[in-house]
Parts: sequence; C-alpha cells; structure tokens
Amino acid sequence: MSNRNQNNHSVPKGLRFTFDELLSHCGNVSSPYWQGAWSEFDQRYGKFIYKKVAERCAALRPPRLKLQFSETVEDIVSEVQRTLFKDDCRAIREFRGRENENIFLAWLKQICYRGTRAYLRRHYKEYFSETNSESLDFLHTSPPDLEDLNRWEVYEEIVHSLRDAAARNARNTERDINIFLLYAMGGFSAEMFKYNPLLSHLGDRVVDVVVNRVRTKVRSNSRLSR
Amino acid sequence: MMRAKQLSLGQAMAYLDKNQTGAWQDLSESKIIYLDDLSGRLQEIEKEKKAVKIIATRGQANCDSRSTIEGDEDFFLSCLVIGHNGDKSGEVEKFIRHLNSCYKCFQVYSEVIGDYCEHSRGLS
Repeated sequence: MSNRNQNNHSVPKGLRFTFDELLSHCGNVSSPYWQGAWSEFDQRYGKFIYKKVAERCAALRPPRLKLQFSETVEDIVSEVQRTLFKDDCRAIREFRGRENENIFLAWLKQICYRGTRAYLRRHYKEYFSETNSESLDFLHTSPPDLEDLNRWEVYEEIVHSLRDAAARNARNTERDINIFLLYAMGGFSAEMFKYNPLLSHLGDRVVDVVVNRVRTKVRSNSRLSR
Repeated sequence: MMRAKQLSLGQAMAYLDKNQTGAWQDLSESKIIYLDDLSGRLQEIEKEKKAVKIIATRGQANCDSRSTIEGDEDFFLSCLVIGHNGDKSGEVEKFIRHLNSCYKCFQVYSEVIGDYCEHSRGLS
C-alpha cells in the first residue's frame, strides 16, 4: 500500500489528476471534469472496492444466498457506488483526510465493509422471515468473522421493527415477539411451547398463528426498509 | 450445592415436575441429592410466595456485561411456580419485555427453558 501513497501534488503516470484534484472534482458535480474524474476514480479504485467487498463477503460466509457469489459482490459494489454518489457525492466532498491516500483507502475500505454488512443484514432478516427454525443452524455456529454481523444484531433489529410496527395499545405484542424469537432463534418447536412455564396457557393453535403472523410482519418490514 | 454431573438445570426442573411419579427412581444418588436441594428451595419459594417478586426483580435488571438470570436457579424455580399458579400481577409480562430487549437473557432463558421443555416432553 505504501506505493499508493503518492504526493498529492503529482500526477501518477498514465493518469490525469493528482489525488487531491481527483477528490475535489469527484466531489463537485458542477466541475467540468466531474465525469472524467469519476472515470479515473473507477480506474484507480474500482478494483480496490471490488476486492474489499469480495473479501468481506467471503469472510462473512453468507448462507444460502439466492444469487451467485460474484453477483452478490457486484450488487454490493453497486450499493457502495450509490453511497459515494448520494447527495451529489457528499461523502467524497466532505472527506477530510486528503493529505494521505492511505487514509482515503482506509475510509473507502470502511464504506465497503459497511455496505457489505448492510446488504447481508437485509439478507439475513429476509432469511429469518422465510424459513423455519430447523434451517437456522448456521447461526449457532457462526464463525468469529461474524462478530459484527451477529445474532444479537438481527435479534435487536427484529424486536425494534416489530415494536415500531405494533399498533398502539395492541395486546400481546411482547408475548408474540417472544414466541417468534423462541421459535426462530431459540430452537423451540411448536410442541415445546406447551411446557414453557411462562407461556403454558397458550392454546394449541396459538403458536402457529403467532409465528406466521409475526413472520409476515418481519418480511414486510424488511422490504420496506430497503 | 454443586450440581450433579450431567444433570442440567433444565433437566432438573423437568424431574422436579415429576417427583411424584417415580421418575427419580433410576437416578444416581448425587442427582437425587441435587434434586432434593432444588425441591426444598422450590417449596420455599412457593410457600413464601416469592416467585413473582423474584421474576419482577430480574425483569428490572440492567444486564450490562452478563445476563441477570445466568446460573440463577431461584429465577428458574420461580418460573416453575408461575407455570403452576399463573400470574395476575403483570410482572411476567414485564419480564418478557425485558427478555425481548436483552439478547443475553434470551440466550440463557431459551437454553434452560428449551432444555426443560425437551425433557418434560420426554418424561411425560
């Protein structure tokens, strides 16, 4: 990486802009060089972005992605690009570490990691809402790399979205969330609920009805949050 | 009291439920000693009507680094009492809210109660 640490005022061979100029033009949509600058940005950092996303994606080992790995990476790279272009390239415009390209690369890496994490979180959430507890075994054996995409994050996100979506004064909201979590994340089967001392008064069909109802809500919240 | 080897709290709770049915008769002496100890504490909680209070305290806890119910036999024995007697105080509902907000407690609860449910099903 040290050979990337160019002098900000010199133009690397075969390129048009210094590092500082490149970021200035990329962050200024009214610059006459804006388009050319982004083309050069892609030339200089496109592979880096792809590589960081692919690395993160491989480290998190997403289970049962519907798309092939390379398609998933390309999807995430597009999201990273959208983040960089958002609000007239605000992220680039407001980036303050222009004195050293390595700082920029560290920042760009974080954007790639966050983009990957956000994408996979959505994937996991949909996964929860579309599957049954038996096929969630992978969550019990999460590799250490899953530290920042952990079960508790998905857990908290599900609880948060269900509480937000609940009608005011709705009865049994917390009970229903608890039933769903025990079923989807705690490995409880419908029959086990009969013995759960804090929920032992439930009728035979209640667990099925609640799990299906909550699952539909999780699924619809997941789509809305895209 | 040291827990008898190979008898988890969830399993012990299932045996406590079945102590009148002869389910204990094939257990080792150390396991029966452990169950006797738990049984005495269960009766005390029931007699002194402490179950709701114990559950209420755990529901108000702030679990920063560790779950408040981890290794908490009194809490889980109180759950058994509530399972038999029910709760009209609303404290169980508050505890369930805590459980939904606290992943650490959820993990402990689902492990112990899951174990209890599995073994209760097996013993019945």
